[in-house]
Amino acid sequence: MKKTVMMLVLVAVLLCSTMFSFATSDPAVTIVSPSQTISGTNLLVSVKMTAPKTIKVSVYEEKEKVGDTLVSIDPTTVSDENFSSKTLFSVSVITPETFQGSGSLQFYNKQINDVSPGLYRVKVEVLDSNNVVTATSTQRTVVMPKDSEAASGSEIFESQQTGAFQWVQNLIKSIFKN
Amino acid sequence: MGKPKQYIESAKNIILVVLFVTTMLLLYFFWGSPMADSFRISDIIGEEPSEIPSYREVTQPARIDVHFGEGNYTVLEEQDIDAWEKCLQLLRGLDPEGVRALEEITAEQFDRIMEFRSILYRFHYEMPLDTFLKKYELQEIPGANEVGDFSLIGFSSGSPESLFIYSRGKDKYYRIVYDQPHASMEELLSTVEDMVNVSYFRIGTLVGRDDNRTLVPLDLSTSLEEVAYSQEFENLNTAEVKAFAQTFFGESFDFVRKIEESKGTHIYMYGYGEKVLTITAEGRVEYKNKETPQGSQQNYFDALDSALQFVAAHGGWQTGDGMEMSPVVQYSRAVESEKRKGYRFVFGMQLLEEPLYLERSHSIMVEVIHGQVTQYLRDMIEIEEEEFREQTDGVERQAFSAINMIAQNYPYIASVLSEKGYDFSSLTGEALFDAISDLIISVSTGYMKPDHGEEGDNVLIPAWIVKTDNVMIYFDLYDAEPLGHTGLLES
Repeated sequence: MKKTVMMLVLVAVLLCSTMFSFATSDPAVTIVSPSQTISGTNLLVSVKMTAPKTIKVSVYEEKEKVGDTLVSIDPTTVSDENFSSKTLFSVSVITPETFQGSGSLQFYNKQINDVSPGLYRVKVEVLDSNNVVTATSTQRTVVMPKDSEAASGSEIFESQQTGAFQWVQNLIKSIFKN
Repeated sequence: MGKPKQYIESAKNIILVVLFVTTMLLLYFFWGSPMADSFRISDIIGEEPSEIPSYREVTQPARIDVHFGEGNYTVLEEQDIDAWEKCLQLLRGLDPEGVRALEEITAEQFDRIMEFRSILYRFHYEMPLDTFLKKYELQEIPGANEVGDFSLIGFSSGSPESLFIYSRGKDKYYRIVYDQPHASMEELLSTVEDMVNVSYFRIGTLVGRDDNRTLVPLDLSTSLEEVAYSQEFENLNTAEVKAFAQTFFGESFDFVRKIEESKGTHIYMYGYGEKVLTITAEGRVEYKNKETPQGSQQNYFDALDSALQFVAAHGGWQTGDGMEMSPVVQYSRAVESEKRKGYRFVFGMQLLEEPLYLERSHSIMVEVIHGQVTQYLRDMIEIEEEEFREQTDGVERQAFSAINMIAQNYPYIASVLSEKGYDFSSLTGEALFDAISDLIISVSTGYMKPDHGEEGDNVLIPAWIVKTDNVMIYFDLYDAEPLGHTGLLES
């Protein structure tokens, strides 16, 4: 009886661990880009593979339903709102692409242009030889509007000497050098 | 009865002139080389001197990086919008009295300011800033002599009134602050933004490391295909080669020893080896002059002018047949021999818009010390222009991913760099990849001529060119297979 219970427990553990592994990511596949927050209108997807793998990459915009229409999420509210309590609708941004890497190191790259501000999700599925998904990685990213360059770079040089002082210094240097 | 006698006298004069000219021509034939191709009217009446490219034509940035902000870049081809000339125009129009400061800035400050929309003119060699300004008749920059040599000029919309300069020799960044913003650079940035551009990203962005700033294209389509070529000197027993050799020795050519080696190499030697000209069976020319230079030390541009004139007088800047190519300084460095200083110039050739690279060689290399050319390498090829256009006007193909070309070949790059003295013995896997990608200063496309020796097809191969400080490593543009490499310090 004990043996039977032990066997059942073992089988249950094995099954559970298999199910768990379906849900985890593959350590040889890493989403390098995008980061959690980007600004601008271009979304760069970069996936690093450190072993020969076949991956399927999908990019979605996460939208919410207002009335009957799906609307983009205001990126400025993403940090404030709790999306776990909301129902999000994933709208595909690209046709999912399959990429086969045969080396010990390779990268999948794709640039998506004209992206509007909002919340996006990159999903990378690892496929086996029968095209069955063996692992999945996802990355959510908030796309903010393009930074305004009104904030000048002058603050970068604030610690530098004042222009007039530097000019005098250069002048003195050049006089004594000649 | 007087008239016929007069006619006879005139006829005699004409016959004498004809006989004299005939004698001269026969003497030319029999005393000179008795080969059919040795007779050239141009030799008798004097050939027009070979065209000399100007220092401006050969001095072009290796690349022009444009940052649109948010990590989106493109790299300009010079011919696109004459971007280098626009930079020179801006420098020409600057008011020296408008300089508010010339200050050294940190590498971190430079990187931060270039996060804004910016444009960088990069050279793979250094030029002295003050001599550059004088030679180009640009406005003086107070304190330019403090900067010394430079290899980069940059503008950033984050500090529109500034001009940024980098000196690789000193590894220092400088900012020159003017009292007015450089509006023309803003215009140039806007013009480039409105164009259809190839997207470039930093290697660091693609691989997940912030510190690697070298740009690579994300996707590149190109119509480059293999192109047949022939060597400039295929048969060394021609009057053309003899005339070429004669240009190095002038009047003393009759006292030059000529040695023909079993492998087909011809060696011309003057005196006890003071001047030696070697032409290999494959047509590669090397000239060395060990005589003590009598001239005085030259600055960078005077030495460049000496090199340009020397090549024009010794083989010329174009080959006799084939399509015209545009020479550019690919690399230069200061050299010193017996306390005499000079420069070594490596000239690359542009085939219409694509640069040509030679495995383990250079199209032209000239070393000038105190005004005297001490070393000259010439490895020129000829290409049929019609065939070249036919081969490159076809349907575009997707090039192999630049980042995956590096990822696939980093062990090979490491092995090449190890030969040049780098030590990667403690690194493997991703750590080695990171170390290698940090050493790459540019990734570009071009044509590569393999070093087959006497065997192999004479075709140029479309290639990725991975450039580190002193080595160029080539990979097939479409399958990323390694093709070879060239050291910039070798000759």
